[in-house]
Amino acid sequence: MNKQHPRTLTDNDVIDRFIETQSQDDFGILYSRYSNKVYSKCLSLLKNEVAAQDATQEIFLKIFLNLANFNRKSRFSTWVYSITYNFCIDYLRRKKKERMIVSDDQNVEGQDLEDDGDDKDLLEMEIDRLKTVLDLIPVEDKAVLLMKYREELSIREISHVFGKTESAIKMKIKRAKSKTRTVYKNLYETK
Amino acid sequence: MENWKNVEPEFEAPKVIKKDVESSLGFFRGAGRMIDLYLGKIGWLFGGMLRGYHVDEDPAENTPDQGSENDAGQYSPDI
Repeated sequence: MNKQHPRTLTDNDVIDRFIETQSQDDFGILYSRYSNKVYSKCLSLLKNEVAAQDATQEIFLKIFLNLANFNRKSRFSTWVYSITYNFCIDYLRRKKKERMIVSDDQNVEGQDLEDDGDDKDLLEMEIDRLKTVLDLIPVEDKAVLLMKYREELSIREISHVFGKTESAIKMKIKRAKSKTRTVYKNLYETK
Repeated sequence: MENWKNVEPEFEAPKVIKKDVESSLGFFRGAGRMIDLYLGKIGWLFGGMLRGYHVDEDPAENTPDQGSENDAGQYSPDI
Protein backbone atom coordinates (compact mmCIF):
# COMPACT_ATOMS: atom_id res chain seq x y z
CA MET A 1 0.00 0.00 0.00
CA ASN A 2 1.34 3.41 -1.01
CA LYS A 3 1.36 5.77 1.98
CA GLN A 4 2.97 8.81 0.33
CA HIS A 5 1.58 12.28 0.87
CA PRO A 6 -1.34 12.80 -1.56
CA ARG A 7 0.45 15.69 -3.28
CA THR A 8 3.38 13.49 -4.27
CA LEU A 9 1.16 10.78 -5.73
CA THR A 10 0.60 10.72 -9.47
CA ASP A 11 -2.92 10.29 -10.82
CA ASN A 12 -2.07 6.72 -11.78
CA ASP A 13 -0.88 5.94 -8.21
CA VAL A 14 -4.17 7.21 -6.78
CA ILE A 15 -6.19 5.32 -9.41
CA ASP A 16 -4.38 2.05 -8.59
CA ARG A 17 -5.08 2.57 -4.89
CA PHE A 18 -8.71 3.47 -5.49
CA ILE A 19 -9.29 0.39 -7.64
CA GLU A 20 -7.73 -1.76 -4.93
CA THR A 21 -9.35 -0.24 -1.84
CA GLN A 22 -12.31 1.87 -3.08
CA SER A 23 -11.33 4.29 -0.30
CA GLN A 24 -13.09 7.62 0.15
CA ASP A 25 -9.70 9.33 0.58
CA ASP A 26 -8.53 8.37 -2.90
CA PHE A 27 -11.89 9.35 -4.33
CA GLY A 28 -11.42 12.72 -2.59
CA ILE A 29 -7.92 13.23 -4.01
CA LEU A 30 -8.98 12.62 -7.62
CA TYR A 31 -12.17 14.61 -7.15
CA SER A 32 -10.37 17.63 -5.73
CA ARG A 33 -7.80 17.57 -8.56
CA TYR A 34 -10.38 17.62 -11.34
CA SER A 35 -13.76 18.83 -10.06
CA ASN A 36 -13.20 22.54 -10.74
CA LYS A 37 -11.76 21.84 -14.18
CA VAL A 38 -14.67 19.58 -15.16
CA TYR A 39 -17.29 21.95 -13.75
CA SER A 40 -15.74 24.98 -15.47
CA LYS A 41 -15.56 23.13 -18.78
CA CYS A 42 -19.21 22.09 -18.47
CA LEU A 43 -20.20 25.64 -17.62
CA SER A 44 -18.27 26.97 -20.60
CA LEU A 45 -19.81 24.50 -23.05
CA LEU A 46 -23.35 24.25 -21.67
CA LYS A 47 -23.72 27.87 -20.50
CA ASN A 48 -26.13 26.87 -17.76
CA GLU A 49 -25.24 26.45 -14.08
CA VAL A 50 -27.82 23.76 -13.27
CA ALA A 51 -26.97 21.76 -16.39
CA ALA A 52 -23.25 22.12 -15.63
CA GLN A 53 -23.83 20.87 -12.08
CA ASP A 54 -25.83 17.83 -13.25
CA ALA A 55 -23.30 17.14 -15.99
CA THR A 56 -20.35 17.31 -13.56
CA GLN A 57 -22.09 14.82 -11.27
CA GLU A 58 -22.77 12.37 -14.10
CA ILE A 59 -19.28 12.79 -15.55
CA PHE A 60 -17.63 11.95 -12.21
CA LEU A 61 -19.89 8.97 -11.76
CA LYS A 62 -18.86 7.80 -15.23
CA ILE A 63 -15.20 8.38 -14.42
CA PHE A 64 -15.24 6.44 -11.14
CA LEU A 65 -17.39 3.58 -12.42
CA ASN A 66 -15.09 3.15 -15.43
CA LEU A 67 -11.77 3.79 -13.71
CA ALA A 68 -10.72 0.15 -14.11
CA ASN A 69 -11.13 0.56 -17.88
CA PHE A 70 -8.73 3.53 -18.08
CA ASN A 71 -6.00 2.04 -20.27
CA ARG A 72 -3.20 4.55 -19.41
CA LYS A 73 -2.44 5.11 -23.12
CA SER A 74 -3.12 8.80 -22.57
CA ARG A 75 -2.79 11.04 -19.53
CA PHE A 76 -5.60 10.74 -17.00
CA SER A 77 -6.36 14.44 -17.51
CA THR A 78 -6.88 13.81 -21.25
CA TRP A 79 -9.20 10.89 -20.46
CA VAL A 80 -11.21 13.08 -18.06
CA TYR A 81 -11.28 15.84 -20.66
CA SER A 82 -12.49 13.37 -23.27
CA ILE A 83 -15.37 12.14 -21.09
CA THR A 84 -16.31 15.72 -20.19
CA TYR A 85 -16.23 16.97 -23.75
CA ASN A 86 -18.18 14.01 -25.17
CA PHE A 87 -20.77 14.20 -22.41
CA CYS A 88 -21.38 17.90 -23.07
CA ILE A 89 -21.61 17.41 -26.84
CA ASP A 90 -24.09 14.53 -26.37
CA TYR A 91 -26.09 16.70 -23.99
CA LEU A 92 -26.24 19.55 -26.51
CA ARG A 93 -27.19 17.15 -29.28
CA ARG A 94 -29.99 15.75 -27.16
CA LYS A 95 -31.22 19.22 -26.44
CA LYS A 96 -30.87 20.12 -30.11
CA LYS A 97 -29.56 23.52 -29.17
CA GLU A 98 -26.65 23.24 -31.49
CA ARG A 99 -26.50 22.25 -35.13
CA MET A 100 -23.60 19.88 -35.27
CA ILE A 101 -21.19 19.79 -38.16
CA VAL A 102 -21.10 16.59 -40.22
CA SER A 103 -18.11 14.40 -39.45
CA ASP A 104 -14.87 15.97 -40.51
CA ASP A 105 -13.50 12.53 -41.33
CA GLN A 106 -15.34 12.77 -44.64
CA ASN A 107 -13.67 14.37 -47.63
CA VAL A 108 -10.48 15.05 -45.75
CA GLU A 109 -8.38 13.34 -48.39
CA GLY A 110 -7.00 15.66 -50.97
CA GLN A 111 -7.67 18.75 -48.93
CA ASP A 112 -4.91 20.95 -47.67
CA LEU A 113 -4.44 19.77 -44.10
CA GLU A 114 -1.44 21.85 -43.34
CA ASP A 115 -1.98 24.56 -40.81
CA ASP A 116 -1.20 28.02 -42.11
CA GLY A 117 1.04 28.31 -39.05
CA ASP A 118 0.32 31.99 -38.56
CA ASP A 119 -1.68 32.20 -35.36
CA LYS A 120 -0.48 35.66 -34.38
CA ASP A 121 -3.83 37.34 -34.93
CA LEU A 122 -5.66 34.66 -32.92
CA LEU A 123 -3.15 34.71 -30.10
CA GLU A 124 -3.26 38.47 -29.81
CA MET A 125 -7.02 38.91 -29.83
CA GLU A 126 -8.19 41.07 -26.95
CA ILE A 127 -9.69 38.80 -24.28
CA ASP A 128 -13.25 40.17 -24.20
CA ARG A 129 -13.46 40.03 -27.98
CA LEU A 130 -12.02 36.52 -27.96
CA LYS A 131 -14.67 35.40 -25.43
CA THR A 132 -17.42 36.90 -27.58
CA VAL A 133 -16.12 35.31 -30.77
CA LEU A 134 -15.70 31.88 -29.14
CA ASP A 135 -19.30 32.02 -27.93
CA LEU A 136 -20.49 32.66 -31.49
CA ILE A 137 -18.74 29.79 -33.25
CA PRO A 138 -20.04 26.17 -33.03
CA VAL A 139 -19.26 24.51 -29.72
CA GLU A 140 -17.05 21.82 -31.34
CA ASP A 141 -14.89 24.52 -32.90
CA LYS A 142 -14.67 26.39 -29.62
CA ALA A 143 -13.68 23.18 -27.82
CA VAL A 144 -10.97 22.23 -30.31
CA LEU A 145 -9.43 25.72 -30.21
CA LEU A 146 -9.46 25.73 -26.39
CA MET A 147 -7.78 22.32 -26.38
CA LYS A 148 -5.07 23.61 -28.69
CA TYR A 149 -4.44 27.09 -27.30
CA ARG A 150 -5.65 26.95 -23.68
CA GLU A 151 -4.91 23.39 -22.60
CA GLU A 152 -2.02 23.13 -25.10
CA LEU A 153 -2.90 19.53 -25.96
CA SER A 154 -1.02 17.92 -28.83
CA ILE A 155 -2.80 16.96 -32.06
CA ARG A 156 -2.50 13.32 -30.97
CA GLU A 157 -4.16 14.06 -27.62
CA ILE A 158 -6.95 16.03 -29.27
CA SER A 159 -7.50 13.14 -31.66
CA HIS A 160 -7.96 10.85 -28.62
CA VAL A 161 -10.51 13.23 -27.13
CA PHE A 162 -12.56 13.44 -30.35
CA GLY A 163 -11.96 9.83 -31.35
CA LYS A 164 -10.85 10.98 -34.81
CA THR A 165 -7.73 10.75 -36.91
CA GLU A 166 -4.94 13.30 -36.57
CA SER A 167 -5.63 14.45 -40.15
CA ALA A 168 -9.27 15.09 -39.29
CA ILE A 169 -8.21 17.08 -36.23
CA LYS A 170 -5.80 19.23 -38.27
CA MET A 171 -8.64 19.96 -40.68
CA LYS A 172 -11.02 20.71 -37.82
CA ILE A 173 -8.55 23.17 -36.26
CA LYS A 174 -7.98 24.87 -39.58
CA ARG A 175 -11.73 25.30 -40.13
CA ALA A 176 -12.28 26.48 -36.55
CA LYS A 177 -9.58 29.12 -36.95
CA SER A 178 -11.10 30.25 -40.21
CA LYS A 179 -14.57 30.60 -38.60
CA THR A 180 -13.08 32.49 -35.66
CA ARG A 181 -11.39 34.96 -37.99
CA THR A 182 -14.57 35.40 -40.03
CA VAL A 183 -16.72 36.09 -36.97
CA TYR A 184 -14.09 38.47 -35.61
CA LYS A 185 -13.94 40.39 -38.88
CA ASN A 186 -17.73 40.60 -39.08
CA LEU A 187 -17.96 41.90 -35.54
CA TYR A 188 -15.01 44.20 -35.22
CA GLU A 189 -13.55 45.04 -38.61
CA THR A 190 -16.65 46.01 -40.61
CA LYS A 191 -18.30 49.37 -40.33
CA MET B 1 -1.24 33.04 -25.65
CA GLU B 2 -2.00 34.55 -22.22
CA ASN B 3 -5.46 35.72 -23.32
CA TRP B 4 -6.34 32.11 -24.23
CA LYS B 5 -5.29 30.98 -20.74
CA ASN B 6 -7.77 33.44 -19.22
CA VAL B 7 -10.58 33.08 -21.71
CA GLU B 8 -12.21 30.27 -19.74
CA PRO B 9 -11.90 31.07 -16.02
CA GLU B 10 -11.92 28.21 -13.53
CA PHE B 11 -14.93 28.13 -11.20
CA GLU B 12 -15.24 26.21 -7.98
CA ALA B 13 -17.54 23.22 -8.33
CA PRO B 14 -20.50 23.42 -5.91
CA LYS B 15 -19.92 21.26 -2.80
CA VAL B 16 -23.22 19.42 -3.30
CA ILE B 17 -21.84 17.66 -6.40
CA LYS B 18 -19.24 15.76 -4.36
CA LYS B 19 -21.86 14.49 -1.90
CA ASP B 20 -24.16 13.42 -4.73
CA VAL B 21 -21.36 11.55 -6.52
CA GLU B 22 -20.33 9.84 -3.28
CA SER B 23 -23.84 8.69 -2.49
CA SER B 24 -24.42 7.49 -6.08
CA LEU B 25 -21.14 5.56 -5.99
CA GLY B 26 -22.22 4.03 -2.68
CA PHE B 27 -25.51 2.99 -4.25
CA PHE B 28 -23.77 1.40 -7.25
CA ARG B 29 -21.32 -0.42 -4.98
CA GLY B 30 -24.23 -1.72 -2.88
CA ALA B 31 -26.07 -2.83 -6.01
CA GLY B 32 -22.89 -4.48 -7.28
CA ARG B 33 -22.54 -6.43 -4.04
CA MET B 34 -26.18 -7.54 -4.24
CA ILE B 35 -25.63 -8.76 -7.80
CA ASP B 36 -22.45 -10.59 -6.73
CA LEU B 37 -24.37 -12.18 -3.89
CA TYR B 38 -27.23 -13.12 -6.21
CA LEU B 39 -24.89 -14.60 -8.82
CA GLY B 40 -23.06 -16.42 -6.04
CA LYS B 41 -26.34 -17.93 -4.86
CA ILE B 42 -27.23 -19.03 -8.40
CA GLY B 43 -23.75 -20.49 -8.80
CA TRP B 44 -24.13 -22.36 -5.51
CA LEU B 45 -27.57 -23.63 -6.55
CA PHE B 46 -26.35 -24.87 -9.94
CA GLY B 47 -23.27 -26.34 -8.32
CA GLY B 48 -25.49 -28.22 -5.89
CA MET B 49 -27.74 -29.46 -8.68
CA LEU B 50 -24.76 -30.66 -10.69
CA ARG B 51 -23.36 -32.45 -7.66
CA GLY B 52 -26.77 -34.14 -7.23
CA TYR B 53 -26.61 -35.52 -10.75
CA HIS B 54 -22.99 -36.52 -10.48
CA VAL B 55 -22.23 -40.10 -11.56
CA ASP B 56 -18.91 -41.66 -10.71
CA GLU B 57 -16.80 -42.47 -13.70
CA ASP B 58 -15.75 -45.87 -12.34
CA PRO B 59 -18.92 -48.00 -12.41
CA ALA B 60 -17.22 -50.84 -10.57
CA GLU B 61 -17.26 -48.81 -7.41
CA ASN B 62 -21.00 -48.35 -7.68
CA THR B 63 -21.99 -51.94 -8.33
CA PRO B 64 -22.53 -54.18 -5.36
CA ASP B 65 -19.86 -56.78 -4.91
CA GLN B 66 -21.20 -59.94 -6.43
CA GLY B 67 -18.16 -62.17 -6.09
CA SER B 68 -15.50 -63.13 -8.63
CA GLU B 69 -14.29 -65.97 -10.71
CA ASN B 70 -11.39 -68.07 -9.43
CA ASP B 71 -8.40 -69.16 -11.51
CA ALA B 72 -10.25 -72.22 -12.74
CA GLY B 73 -13.06 -70.07 -14.02
CA GLN B 74 -15.42 -71.23 -11.31
CA TYR B 75 -17.59 -68.77 -9.55
CA SER B 76 -17.01 -68.34 -5.85
CA PRO B 77 -18.71 -65.80 -3.71
CA ASP B 78 -16.43 -63.47 -1.78
CA ILE B 79 -16.80 -63.67 1.94
